[in-house]
Amino acid sequence: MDLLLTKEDEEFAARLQGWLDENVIPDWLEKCRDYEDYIQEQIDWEQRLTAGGWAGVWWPTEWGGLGASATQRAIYAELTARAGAPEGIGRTGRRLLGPAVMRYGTQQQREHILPRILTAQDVWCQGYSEPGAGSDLASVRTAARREGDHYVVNGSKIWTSHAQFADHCFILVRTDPTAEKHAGLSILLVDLRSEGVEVRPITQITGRNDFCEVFYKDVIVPAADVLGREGQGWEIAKYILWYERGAVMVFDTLVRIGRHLQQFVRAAPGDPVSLTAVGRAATEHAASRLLAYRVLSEQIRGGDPSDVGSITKLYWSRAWVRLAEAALFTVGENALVSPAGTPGHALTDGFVECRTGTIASGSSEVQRNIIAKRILGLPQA
Amino acid sequence: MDLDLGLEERELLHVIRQVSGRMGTGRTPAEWWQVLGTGGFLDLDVDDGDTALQAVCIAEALGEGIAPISFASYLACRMLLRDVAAAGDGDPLAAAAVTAWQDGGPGGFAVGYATGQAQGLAESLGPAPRFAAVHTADGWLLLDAGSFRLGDPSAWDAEPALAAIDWDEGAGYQAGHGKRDWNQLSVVLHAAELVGVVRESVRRTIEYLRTREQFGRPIGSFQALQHRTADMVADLRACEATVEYVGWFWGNAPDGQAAAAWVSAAAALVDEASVTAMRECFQFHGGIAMTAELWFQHWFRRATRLAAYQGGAPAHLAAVGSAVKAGVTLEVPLTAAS
Repeated sequence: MDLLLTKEDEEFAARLQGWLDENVIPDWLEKCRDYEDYIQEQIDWEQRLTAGGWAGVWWPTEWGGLGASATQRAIYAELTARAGAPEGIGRTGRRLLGPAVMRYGTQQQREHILPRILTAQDVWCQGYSEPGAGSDLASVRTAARREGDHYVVNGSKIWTSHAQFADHCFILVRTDPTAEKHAGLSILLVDLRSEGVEVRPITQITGRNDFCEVFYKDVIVPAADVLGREGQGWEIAKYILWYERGAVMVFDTLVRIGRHLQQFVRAAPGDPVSLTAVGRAATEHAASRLLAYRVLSEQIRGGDPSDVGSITKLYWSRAWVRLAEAALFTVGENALVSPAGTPGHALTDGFVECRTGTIASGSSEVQRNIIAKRILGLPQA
Repeated sequence: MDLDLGLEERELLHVIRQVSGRMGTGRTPAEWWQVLGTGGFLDLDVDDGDTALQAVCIAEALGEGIAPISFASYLACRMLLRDVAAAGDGDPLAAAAVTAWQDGGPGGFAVGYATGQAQGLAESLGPAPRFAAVHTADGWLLLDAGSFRLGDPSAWDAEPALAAIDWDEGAGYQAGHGKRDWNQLSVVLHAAELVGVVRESVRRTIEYLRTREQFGRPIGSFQALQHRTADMVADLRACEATVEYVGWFWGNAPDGQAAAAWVSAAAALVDEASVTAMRECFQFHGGIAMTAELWFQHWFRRATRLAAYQGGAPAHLAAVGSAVKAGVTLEVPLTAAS
């Protein structure tokens, strides 16, 4: 074991921190008067990332990226989160679609799509879930019917993050209704300005509109805009989900959980029962981080993210909910208010925010299925 | 950076597992000490993170095979006596204890900790200890025969014998805290042994889930059991990552609040997770787990005992909570900048 970073990693961290110090407006979030302001900050941040050369932190140099190591990508996730930087409106394209296009895309797709993501010209969103296909993702019903040199897409997607601000969406669709459930799926790269696309933002429990429902009615998508082969959709969807659950990306979430923990520590009384609750929350948070390091170490030694990320996700997301509940009930009614002059309602906000961990990117129940079947090899029903 | 076990540690785990497999069950502690001594595993000095991590790996592997010895108590006592010998203050009891250890091996010692005034719990490293090393709030106390008394060994688990200990107030040699707080090493290594006990129990239980059939199919195909197994495995992986990191960190870190908090965090996490995991293993086996015929009884007893030894989860969690409230953080930052 060692915690030592290479000289290159240290230099990377110092360079990034210096840039963050100059570019992150410390109280940008507090200054946002409404959701539009918040989104404008995300858009502005995307431009700043591009100008600063950091948009390509996830990508190899071959495609204009920084060629950052797994450690450096984790450092990026952690330091940007610690600095309180916006995530940027192009996060989905940079983090998820980009690697998939590099691996599965045609040369033409790579040359067209990747530079436009890097330069923030195109914002992408991810269209997986449907009203009738959440955890059972492979049962998607949105259909893409091949007609000559194009597909005709009909159906709807839900929980599509920031679709109202995106130019394009990569969607998981059924291209062969006669094939076996997982085999009949494909990924289509859809221009959201196409005729027949309707985007409806969803108001969340937090009051924000991060998610949308997206309707596709007779939307024409050129056949050249399939990612990978027709019928390869499930494989690609899983590849992208591995990235979404991978060790590198969890480091910014862990920073957010760490802030939640600090709020709990500050607000908790000093009686033995409360101290035990604080101790459990701090211990499980530390363990979450150490589990993430295990997966990161695996990636540093070589290899793509794998199903092991499911163990990490199951653990940290469960621990976060426990932390949130312990904080609320330990602190009691004082958790409902903030001391005068303190912005936000950290403990109640966190009580809601933590729910995304056990639902998004595959619910905890899906993670348990993956662990049981793919990692432990338990028999199929 | 790499926060996983390296090739050297994995090889060590493998070798101890092989030793454990050859020993099987029914061997005496003396036979175990001899075999481990011949292999050079008892010569380990914990002087840094790497050696502390090696100790963790040995404890884990011995836990998997529920060897009838306490490597944790052994190593804590070995390191304490090394400090005592180095101090060389001429105390006859201290000198006698060091000589007894060097000449007679660990079998003549009981090692434990205080739970109250002149009383505590101790693990015997052999059948008739002539010396006892007890960790108290004032540091370690070395006692010789006649100044301490061991109660009847716990009926809960035969070996290594665990017993109540009491001693004459004012008796013995005050060895202080030693170069390091070796009781913290003992806590970490007991937690590591418990990780091993649970890991083997979970491994065997998963095998049972694959083969045991009810309603015409393996019970491991039922989602009700699959999900509980996944939770158990996630907890176990977190325990492994934590206890191995804490061993390494403790070996490298100067003593202090952070080291104490990390040690308590590891102990609490493993203690709690082990109780849950062993409950699940018990439940998944059903009635057969209630019998003395199944392997499980031995692992269940050892796990239960280890989870309660050195304080149990609530005490450790409260210690972590107090430390965190006082400003200690259990952070493993990626960079100095973070």
